[in-house]
Amino acid sequence: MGYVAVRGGGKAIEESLRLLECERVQGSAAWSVDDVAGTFPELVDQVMGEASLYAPQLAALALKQAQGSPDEAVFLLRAFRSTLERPYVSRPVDTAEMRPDRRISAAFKDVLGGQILGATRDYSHRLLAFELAEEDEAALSCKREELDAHFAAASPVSAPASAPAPTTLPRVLDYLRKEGLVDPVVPSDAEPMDATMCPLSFPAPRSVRLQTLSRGMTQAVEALGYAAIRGFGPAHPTVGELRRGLVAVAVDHPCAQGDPEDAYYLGSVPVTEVESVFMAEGEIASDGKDRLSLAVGYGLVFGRAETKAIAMSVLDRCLDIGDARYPTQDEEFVLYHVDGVEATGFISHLKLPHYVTFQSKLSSVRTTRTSPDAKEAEDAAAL
Amino acid sequence: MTLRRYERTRALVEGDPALARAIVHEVEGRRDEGAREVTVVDEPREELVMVQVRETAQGTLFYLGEALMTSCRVRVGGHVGRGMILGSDSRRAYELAVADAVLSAEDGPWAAAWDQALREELARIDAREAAAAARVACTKVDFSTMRVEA
Repeated sequence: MGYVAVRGGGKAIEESLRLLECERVQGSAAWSVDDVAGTFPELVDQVMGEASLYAPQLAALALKQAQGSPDEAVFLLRAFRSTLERPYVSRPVDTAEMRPDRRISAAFKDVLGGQILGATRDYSHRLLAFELAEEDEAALSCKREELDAHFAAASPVSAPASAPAPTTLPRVLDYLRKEGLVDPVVPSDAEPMDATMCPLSFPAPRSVRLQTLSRGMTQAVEALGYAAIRGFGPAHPTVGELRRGLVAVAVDHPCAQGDPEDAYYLGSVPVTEVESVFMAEGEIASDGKDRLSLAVGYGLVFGRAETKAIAMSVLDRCLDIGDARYPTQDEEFVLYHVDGVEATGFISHLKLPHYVTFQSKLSSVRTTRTSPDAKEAEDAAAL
Repeated sequence: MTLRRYERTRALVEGDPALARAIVHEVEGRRDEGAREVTVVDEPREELVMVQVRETAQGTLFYLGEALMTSCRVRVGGHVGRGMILGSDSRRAYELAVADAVLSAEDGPWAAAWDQALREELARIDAREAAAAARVACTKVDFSTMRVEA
């Protein structure tokens, strides 16, 4: 059965959009895009991550237009990105060069460079701060000054003689790699596949898997990652390392491909990276005994989406194992369903008129309910 | 030896925008002499750059996502320069392009003349980053092991 085009409703749609705008302007306090970006940085990060587009000002604008709906803001940004050309691919970012503002390991207490908490609410009390309801510009600037003064006094390098805090940090798991407990990384320069340019097909290359998870809906990635840990996937992961910070984006000069010194520096973007460690079966030793080894799952997202990055690393490991008895290890199940625009788009389309298809369903149900006598009478009447 | 392009662009992008602007002023100021005509080859425009990352679990490459950027291409004398910067900023893209054209001209006096200023800007950026790192270092955990009482 094909689709049947329906006309009408144009006026109602126009008025509906006008009413939507009316509600927006009545509730709005004329916040600038900077206000949105400054007040809700993590929401802006979430939208950029799911839209797969780093553009904080535009993400804040999208959120304002979408009246705070992340789904809608992601949709707006994805639509905007499709209007732009993309002539450049950056030089491969090496996250070892990240300037971290947070780096922790749940695997080792004493890691080289230390456990650096950075700004986190992991250890905060989850109590509503009612004083924020009264916070005004004066109170804000007072707090700013106070905290700046505190950190100026507390920063270890305020004494210039001491060794400055390192701006990059060594990787925690390199220690295990050196010991041979984690397989060494053999860099591959195979060109990645771009999930935005070709439809998903299975088995998906690793590049498509990571890109799809990274731009996945935050809560969907987290829910599936959680399910994988709870028993619908491999055992409990250990966060070998979680680091958050800025990475530099550089583009090669067209005449000097591959020379990092001759590349253009465009700016830096904030990312969160996770390496999770899992127990895995290793090779069989010479004495015939099974050896255990450690496997690593990888997560990397734009911005500060830590839980998503951890969940992504869990799902990466799940899909490496690929035992399709578990939904979280079935790449079709995971990769098809984590995309926000796909999911909200499909579910939203259910609101559109399905008059004809529903009539067909209805008539099928009615047929099964009609008694044979009535059916005969109906048929006779029809003749 | 003068700074290579990566460090030069890092100084101009991360540093005070006034630096690139000063270079442009000097270049445009010489236009009267007819020696340094700036021709815009490609007007500043918004584009995307795909951020490619090497993941550290297996060492493969993948695309993290795109970033909004502005690019511009100019010709100054016989030299082509490109300006590229994250975000939407036509003016800075133009200024970076002019700076790139004159600073990458090996036969010109510009690279040597501005090298010191660029190096000083890099030092300021490094100091700013070190100060930020020091602030973050305040949150470094100082573990102490509890003593078990006999």
